[in-house]
Amino acid sequence: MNADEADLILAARGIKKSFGRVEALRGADFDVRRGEVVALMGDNGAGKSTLVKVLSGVHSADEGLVTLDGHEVAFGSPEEAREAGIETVYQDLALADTLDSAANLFLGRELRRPGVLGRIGVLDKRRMRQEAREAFESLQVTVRSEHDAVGNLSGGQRQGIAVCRAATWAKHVLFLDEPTAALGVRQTENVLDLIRRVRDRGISVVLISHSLPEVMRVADRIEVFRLGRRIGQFITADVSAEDVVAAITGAKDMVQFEEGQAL
Amino acid sequence: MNIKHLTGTPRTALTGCAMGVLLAGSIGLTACSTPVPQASTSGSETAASTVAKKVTLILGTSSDDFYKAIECGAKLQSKEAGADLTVQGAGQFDPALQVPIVDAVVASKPDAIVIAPTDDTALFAPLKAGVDAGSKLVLVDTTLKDPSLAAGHIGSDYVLYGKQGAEQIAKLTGGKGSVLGIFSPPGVSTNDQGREGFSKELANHPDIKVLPFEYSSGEAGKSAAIVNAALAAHPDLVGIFTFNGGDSQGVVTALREANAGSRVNFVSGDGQPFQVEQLKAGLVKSLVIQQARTMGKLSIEYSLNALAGKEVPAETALPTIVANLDNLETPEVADNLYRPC
Amino acid sequence: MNSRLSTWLAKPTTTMLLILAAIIAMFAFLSPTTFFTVSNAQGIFSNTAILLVVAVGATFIIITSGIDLSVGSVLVFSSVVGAQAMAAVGGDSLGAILVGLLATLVSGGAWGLLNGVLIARAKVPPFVTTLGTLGAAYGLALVISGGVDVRSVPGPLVQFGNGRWLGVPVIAVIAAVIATLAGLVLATTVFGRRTYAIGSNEESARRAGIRVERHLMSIYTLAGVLAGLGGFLSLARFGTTTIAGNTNLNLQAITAVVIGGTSLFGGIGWMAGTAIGAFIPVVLANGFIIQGVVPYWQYVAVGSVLVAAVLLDQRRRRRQLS
Repeated sequence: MNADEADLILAARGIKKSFGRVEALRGADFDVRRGEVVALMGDNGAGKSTLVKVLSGVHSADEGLVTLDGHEVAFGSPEEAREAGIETVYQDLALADTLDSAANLFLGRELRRPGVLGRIGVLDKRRMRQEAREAFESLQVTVRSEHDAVGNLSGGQRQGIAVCRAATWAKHVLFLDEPTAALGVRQTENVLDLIRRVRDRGISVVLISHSLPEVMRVADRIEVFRLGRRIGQFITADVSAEDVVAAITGAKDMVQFEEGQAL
Repeated sequence: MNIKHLTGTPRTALTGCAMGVLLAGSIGLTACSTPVPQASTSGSETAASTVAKKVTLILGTSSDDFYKAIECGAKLQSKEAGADLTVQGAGQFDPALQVPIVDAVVASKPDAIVIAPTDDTALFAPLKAGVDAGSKLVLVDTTLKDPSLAAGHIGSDYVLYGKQGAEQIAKLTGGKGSVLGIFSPPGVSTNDQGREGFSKELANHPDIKVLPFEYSSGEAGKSAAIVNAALAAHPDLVGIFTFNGGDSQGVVTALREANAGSRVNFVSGDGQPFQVEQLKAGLVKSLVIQQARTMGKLSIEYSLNALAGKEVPAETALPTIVANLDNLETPEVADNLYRPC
Repeated sequence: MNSRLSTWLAKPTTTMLLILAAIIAMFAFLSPTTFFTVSNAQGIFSNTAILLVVAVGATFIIITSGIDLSVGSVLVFSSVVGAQAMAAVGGDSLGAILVGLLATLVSGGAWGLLNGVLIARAKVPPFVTTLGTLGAAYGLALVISGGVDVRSVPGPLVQFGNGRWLGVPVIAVIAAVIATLAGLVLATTVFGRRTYAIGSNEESARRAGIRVERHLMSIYTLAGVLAGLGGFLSLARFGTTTIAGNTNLNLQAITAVVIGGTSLFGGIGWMAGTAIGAFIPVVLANGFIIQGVVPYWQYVAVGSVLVAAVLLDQRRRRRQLS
């Protein structure tokens, strides 16, 4: 294992996954370094979603190896991935719209009152509100009203709450699937800032995005997928937008990337 | 105030309050207006010196033609005697539905309550509360296990009911062949007595074979299935008697489908409108009807007598009447056919 | 306006409480000496009790955006089983009565569990599932009872069922205790919150690690047990099974829950609302009868209140979800 490899918090090697006759992943590799934002890009059908689902425990790979913090792992369920410290925010945000922000933050991980009351399941609403407030503040997510149902909040605030929730519980890696797809300019800015703060906290962020401008602004590295395999790795600062687009669309030969410009 | 400008909480609260006021207002309006078919104005807090006695009639069900006929008799008698009649009844013949009605009626403190109780035990306590509060009680059609609570009970002679049915069957079949009786399952006292009368009368006709009884409580589908099976199992079936009028539709249907209408003589109890049509069409040969209207009339008469401190017979069993095409137009029969007036 | 107060005022339950108060006020005004009396109030409480017990179970279910049409039939089935169990044991002893209680709760719970398994595991939609069990339970009740009400209930149980504690009918006290406990569970416990979460967004709840299938099964089983308890209380009150009289109980329970402000679309609801919603139809019927109004108006009134409640809920959901 070289110095680079030691830097990896999450790595996938040779992942193959098929659904019936459809080969979604054909020997895919993927790297996530500690404390970075890495963008996962590729055209539709490239295998991005499938890769994320494999890495977050929704699917199990047919072949291949996944290591987390140097140890080989095989997640049989999303719960196992979450327990290992990997959280995912899908495009639907998975929020409970009629519950408030604190309730959403602690969804499935509700705090109970101490003692007997807690054992019979009584919620500690005050403590959850307090800790939620702190969690939102620490990531500078504004919630207009604590008591409001999150369904009433704007898309940007909902995104903020969903990301904050995942960041609160994540230990190592946070996957974000198209977080800014439905947001306006200002809200998008807020989310990008949020992503940076999460990274600064020590949690690596994997950003699936179709928006090159955003990726160029917030991601440290970019990994490009095509037809079920990784065909390019770029350091954002060192690559041009055209090259990334070319990789995504396959305009430039794969060999060129592997030989010349991959890292 | 233009409520369009209000948003959120105040607007919704206002709308809610508006609806509440509207609802309350409509209750008030329906209460103050004279409700539909009643003998006189609805019960209100008039002075104690009112002459008209308040009688509330609680039927077994509100939509059954038999009870409508009782209601008719009660209305006619109330009008004549100058009583203030209110009629109530639930949608189904069941104590769970009738008890809340009795509770409310008792609370309205009528001078007398006339009721067809849907259960001989469950209705006792609620009715006793009424009697204790000063209302006189008259039972009509069905009765309580302990009828002493009431001033009197008016029902039909159910043994005669069954007997008359048997007599008609015997006459129509010439006293020969297999005969089927369809009654409510054992435990329903009216039907039990009917079966008793039916069996006893047919015992006088040795050439009639009485098939085992079948049970249905006025369910057309069930009675149809029963008759289908009977026709198949007993080719010598010549007569069918149903105690409950509700079963006759099923019998007629089954007979028609098997083309057995001419071979099998059908006699039914009860005189609902559709049964009268069947009688006229020759699908049923005779009907054994209860004197429903008379029951209603007597119930009011007895209530008022009880209120006046006069004697009221504890038990009155009105004889049933055989109706056929000959006597359908006579007042005795026509008046007692089951229908509202 | 302070945030907590305005949230409370905006609750549909509050509106319904005001409507109930308005209805009571109207009848009290029209018939002060007959409607507004202690004995009439006792009657109203008695007549609301069993409906409330069943509506408590319905509240949990409707909050998960499910529905249970089988409650009336399950109540009837349990009461038949309970009555026959007590008859089999024989006698009037406390033991016989407890056997009856156990029989009603277990038979009700069994139907509830069946509903839960079909809905949560086999993924049959709640409407279809409970429509099926509605028929099956009713049919089986008729089979077991031969179509005739079972009328032998131990005397002491009937005395209990018609008794009063400090002037309040016993069955009403029992219903109140159950509604209060259930309301507390709903409002203050993990189980309650997860019920709301599942109703709000089942997939989100699942992804948050909540065992959705297990939770749904418990809720439907609970509703079945409560229907069984309703059957027991019905036996205690009437001294007979009342097979024909519970055919509309399912709709009455749903009406009570919806009038109370719980949304049919899930995720929002209050037990206090259910209690109010259970009272409104009973009070309306009682008041109308005392007024001497033709019984059919009661259905019109209850229908109007229900429509008003659903409209309020719709507007709420469109503009604000609290």
